[in-house]
Amino acid sequence: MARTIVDEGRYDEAHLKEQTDMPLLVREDTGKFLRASEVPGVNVNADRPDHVFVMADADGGLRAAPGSLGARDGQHDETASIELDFDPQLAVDRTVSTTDGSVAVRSVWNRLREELATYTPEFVNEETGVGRETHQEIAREFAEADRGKIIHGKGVNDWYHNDLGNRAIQLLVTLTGHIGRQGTGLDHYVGQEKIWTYEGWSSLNAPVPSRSVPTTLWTYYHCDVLDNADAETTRRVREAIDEDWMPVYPAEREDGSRPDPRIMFIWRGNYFNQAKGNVAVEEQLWPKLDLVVDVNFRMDSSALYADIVLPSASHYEKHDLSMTDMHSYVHPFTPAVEPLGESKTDWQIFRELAAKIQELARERDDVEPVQDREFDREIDLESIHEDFVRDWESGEEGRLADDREACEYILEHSAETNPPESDEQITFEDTVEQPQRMRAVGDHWTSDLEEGEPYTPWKRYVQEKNPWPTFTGRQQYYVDHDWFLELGEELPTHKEPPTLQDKAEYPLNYNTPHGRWSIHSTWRDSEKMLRLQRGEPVVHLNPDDMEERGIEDGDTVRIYNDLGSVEVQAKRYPSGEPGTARMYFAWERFQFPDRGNFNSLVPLYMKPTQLVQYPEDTGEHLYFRPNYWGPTGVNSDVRVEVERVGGEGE
Amino acid sequence: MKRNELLLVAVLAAVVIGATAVLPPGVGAQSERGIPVEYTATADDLDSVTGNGWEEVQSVTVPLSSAGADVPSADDVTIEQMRAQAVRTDSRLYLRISWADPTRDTSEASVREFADGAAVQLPTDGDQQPPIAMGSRESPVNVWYWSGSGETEELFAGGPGTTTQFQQTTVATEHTYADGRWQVLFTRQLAPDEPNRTTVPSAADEETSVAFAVWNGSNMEVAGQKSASQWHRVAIGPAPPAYERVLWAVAGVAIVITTLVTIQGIRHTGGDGS
Amino acid sequence: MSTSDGGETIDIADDVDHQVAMVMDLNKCIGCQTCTIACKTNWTDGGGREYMYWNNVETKPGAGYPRDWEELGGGWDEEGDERTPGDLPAQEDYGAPWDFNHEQIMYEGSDEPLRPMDNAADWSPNWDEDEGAGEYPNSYYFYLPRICNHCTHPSCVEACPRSALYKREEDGIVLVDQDRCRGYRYCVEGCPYKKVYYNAMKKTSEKCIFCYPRIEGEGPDGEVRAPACAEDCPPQLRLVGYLDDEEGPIHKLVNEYEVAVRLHPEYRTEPNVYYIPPFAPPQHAADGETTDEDRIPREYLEELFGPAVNDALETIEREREKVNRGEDSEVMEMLTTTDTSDQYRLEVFDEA
Ligand code: SF4
Ligand code: SF4
Repeated sequence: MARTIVDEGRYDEAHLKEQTDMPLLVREDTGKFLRASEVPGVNVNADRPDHVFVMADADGGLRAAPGSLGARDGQHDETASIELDFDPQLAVDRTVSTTDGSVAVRSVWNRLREELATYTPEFVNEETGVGRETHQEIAREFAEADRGKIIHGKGVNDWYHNDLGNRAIQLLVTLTGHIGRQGTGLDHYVGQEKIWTYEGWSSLNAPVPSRSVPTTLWTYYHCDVLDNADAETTRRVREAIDEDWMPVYPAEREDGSRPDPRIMFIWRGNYFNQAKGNVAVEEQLWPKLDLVVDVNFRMDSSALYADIVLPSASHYEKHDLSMTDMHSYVHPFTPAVEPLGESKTDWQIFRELAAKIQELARERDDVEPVQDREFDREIDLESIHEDFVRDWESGEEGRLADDREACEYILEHSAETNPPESDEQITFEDTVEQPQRMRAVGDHWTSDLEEGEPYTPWKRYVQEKNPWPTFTGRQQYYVDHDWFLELGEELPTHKEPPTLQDKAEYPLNYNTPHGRWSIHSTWRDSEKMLRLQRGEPVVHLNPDDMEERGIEDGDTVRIYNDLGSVEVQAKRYPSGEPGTARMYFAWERFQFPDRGNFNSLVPLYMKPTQLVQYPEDTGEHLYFRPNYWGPTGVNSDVRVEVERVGGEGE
Repeated sequence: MKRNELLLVAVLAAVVIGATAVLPPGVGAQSERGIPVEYTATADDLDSVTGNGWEEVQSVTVPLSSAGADVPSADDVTIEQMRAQAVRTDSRLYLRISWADPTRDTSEASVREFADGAAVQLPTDGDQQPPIAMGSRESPVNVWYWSGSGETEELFAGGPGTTTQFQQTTVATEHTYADGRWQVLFTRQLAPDEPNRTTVPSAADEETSVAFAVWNGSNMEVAGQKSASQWHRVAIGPAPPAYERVLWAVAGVAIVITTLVTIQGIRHTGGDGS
Repeated sequence: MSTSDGGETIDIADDVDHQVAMVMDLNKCIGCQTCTIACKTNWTDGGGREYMYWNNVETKPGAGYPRDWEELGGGWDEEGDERTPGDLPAQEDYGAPWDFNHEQIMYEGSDEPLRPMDNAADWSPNWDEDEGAGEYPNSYYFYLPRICNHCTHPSCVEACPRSALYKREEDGIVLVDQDRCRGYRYCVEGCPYKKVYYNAMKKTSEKCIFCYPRIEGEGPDGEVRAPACAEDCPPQLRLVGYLDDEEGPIHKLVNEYEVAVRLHPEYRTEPNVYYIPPFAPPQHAADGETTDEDRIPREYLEELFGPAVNDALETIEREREKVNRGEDSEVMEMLTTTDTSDQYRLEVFDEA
């Protein structure tokens, strides 16, 4: 589609020149962006000219690209602008005299055009099955629409090359300029939400910011996958950890060793069930753990495999806040009933644990404060409960004794719900009255809220011309990180999925999409819902694949590959693409004979490009932040075979 | 038959019935066309559906046919006859009925399951003979409904579709099923101390009427889809019984006639179950 | 029958003041069963009702709930005055309300997988979910949510020899008088939609009550609420109100624009639940190109919704094009409103 839009001149040229990296020059010898510091004579007013990029103006003069990271104050700098006072050329292919001598350069645009030339209608049809005309017609329609928007779900993210897929999809809205206005953009509906009141939430974690870790990497690391992965992947993962691009806990000790995790608290998740690489989690990680505590309102698979289950209040038994980046309102949870049985609110559970620790520490009276390995503070077990409930901002002792007060604290300390220099504060009570629209946006949003309009991102960049929070200050499709260059992924490109299983031996693609019968694993075993299904896990198979294997609807089948094997019921699904075994995800382990799992067939694998920091040294563009940047757990590149269980067989 | 013809026949039948008391004795002493109620001082061996005493009690065969009600498949019924025996003490009536039904259907636990059933219908006011299909507003009936599921209900009705259950039941039942036959014993005080209950006469010169219905559950018989009898005279045996045979023979003649008439009648009036 | 200002007549039953009605837009149904669970939780969670789904959502084409209900008869003959015979569904065709071995697994250490107990699982109310018909890539299916249609000419009411079923005078809701019902099940076989259910524990028949306590404001918060199936629907695909409310979207969609059509009008019970028929992307050719062929065969939609579905589809198509051209379309506005006071108009006839 991008090729059609470009070849047929349906792109938004002004948008590309002002808002994107398309006019930026890239050195042919290194593949790196040409930097202002390398070109004598480029007029640059910046602290870090090596972080300033270069474009050619209409007359061929070389110009510093406005908004480059080197010319701004950090990732977000509202005082800078990307507005142009010259007309840059998109198509550039020339030489430039640099401090290294004469160097051939091409613009990103020219490189992109070269890349896109691969995707002829024949190639697209061959790869995707979509007709040669049909995909071009959609491209034209999208380009010509007054406002265009792409909405996609989690599917792309399930694939190893999900970053390439997402970059390619995003390219369409960029080429057409469908971005930064109401009714445009790319809406990516995945549960990995931006938290509106991120600020207040972090502050509640005080006195240190949250100590988060990318779970995918953490699991990968502690399941000892590095012992078995290919050499290149191992090298890159180790490098990302060694360079501190991505955190892994327990932290490295002074002698360079890193202890195994010993204690695991599982809270608001069903880790044991949902982690990819279920076999490794059970066989490698679980034996390392001395104690697994599960704070849960359901008896789920993790609870079954925990040492201790602390029953917690469910959504309707406690106070909490509900927000999503799919809308701009804050909703409350309020208790309709008191927590059932012995269950307590999550807040109360953690608080009472702290109280107990404090009590024991005081009884012993010889517990020295512990120095935090990462932050400048001491952890004093003798006051840990007091520290827990203290409002450390105001110093008020005991304020945060219950969940409702914790909610209030978050609302109080977030610009979205308590904008500075305004009396527009949203209190918990207000949310009970009726859901409240956020009053303002904090730094981590990219548009202002407008009365009567849904929130639409990126207006600050597109309309107000603030630099984008990228290395180049523009929508950046060319990433000149060493790893990306080495892997040939500096531009979005098409790559075949990695070969995890041999296609001849395991002819079926295996995927585990989100189902509509549960929220991940929550309610996956609900008796009421199971009565509206088949009461047990099913795999959806195309009738042709069933016939080939002598399988009938309702038969018990074995799905297997080199990693594992699970028994489920076959379900006839004419809408499934032939060659696909689809098991909607999140069945609990105890729903399978022998406690298999939908993840038993999925290895732990992830893409190293998602572990990087960029720029490599300072990381303003890409750096680990929960739900913003980090490795994605992937599972859709897996292959399996299916056979009928029992009976005569073939 | 047209409506007023029916009425005429009914009137005639009533006249005939009224006349039976004065007809000469001696006709068909063993006829099964009336329900004799023998007197006994103590009912110890009749108090159970399998009590020995029942062997001594005269058994009357009652012909059954479709009640012809206005419900789907009303004519699709399977049971063509039943037997009835009745005994009274000074205070209680004992009525045992039995019929052959090769399928024993006792469950109503699912949508296509219907239990076997039997009902005994009496005029609320013993002097009257109400319309056979659940009586009428002016001339209501009492119905004792026994279900193969084990329940007994005592009902009141004043016409098709009006059946209402009495809060308190005064009827007790017991049943057995053996060799393809149901036997059901109904017992009740002759004159319960409750409103709207039929008083079973206790003097030999008093009379009332009774009608029966049975349902075969496995044929999905329910409501008006039932095998029903006509009204039968109930003659109360004196203590000691002396004239009963004569009396019952006389009643029998009348019943032959009324049977024919009422069969025609109810086929067209429609009706409801129990 | 009430006559509108414009002189057109709105068909409602003779003996009712108003008639509740619902329009469901099948293009929005995602088959999530939230409505089913909302209904079950409110009304059929126990007491012999476990197997009942007063609201069910079935995949079409498909056998539905109870299985093959469309083949069980009921309703009226062509003149609409004689009932046509119906059959009682077999209990298995409803599917059993399975119990599961949670207890054994969670608390008794059983290694067995979680399963319906007693090996009872070979049919359920949604067993053929998502199967539909056709072949990849031109297979097709859609979801059909069904409740009692609170018909204008209800054969269930007529079927009961005891008049235990009746249409409420004030709003035409069809109810079973539980005191009068003696469990004969003539209504169960008489309803062609199989929307009356036999409660074997109570030995009476029961059915959808259009959440009348909610529309009467008897809910916990004392507010007038639309039926739970409507209010809990995530895509909010149901409009609820009165057919004879001439200002409301239901009247307009049904009578004015005729884009909301009845399911199986040939049963002649004159349902008051109406459907916006489903659209689907056209078929693909073998070379992956989009064709002009309907994916859902028109004959199939006619089979479900009668010949009126053709005009309904064409009208909607036209209205959609209008919107694409930037013009106003009252039809599309009504079908896409997010204003609950337009979606649910239940207080229009309340006396001040
Ligand atoms: S759908 Fe069936 S139960 Fe409901 S009113 Fe119509 S005929 Fe009666
Ligand atoms: S709740 Fe709405 S979307 Fe979900 S199945 Fe029911 S009608 Fe369809």
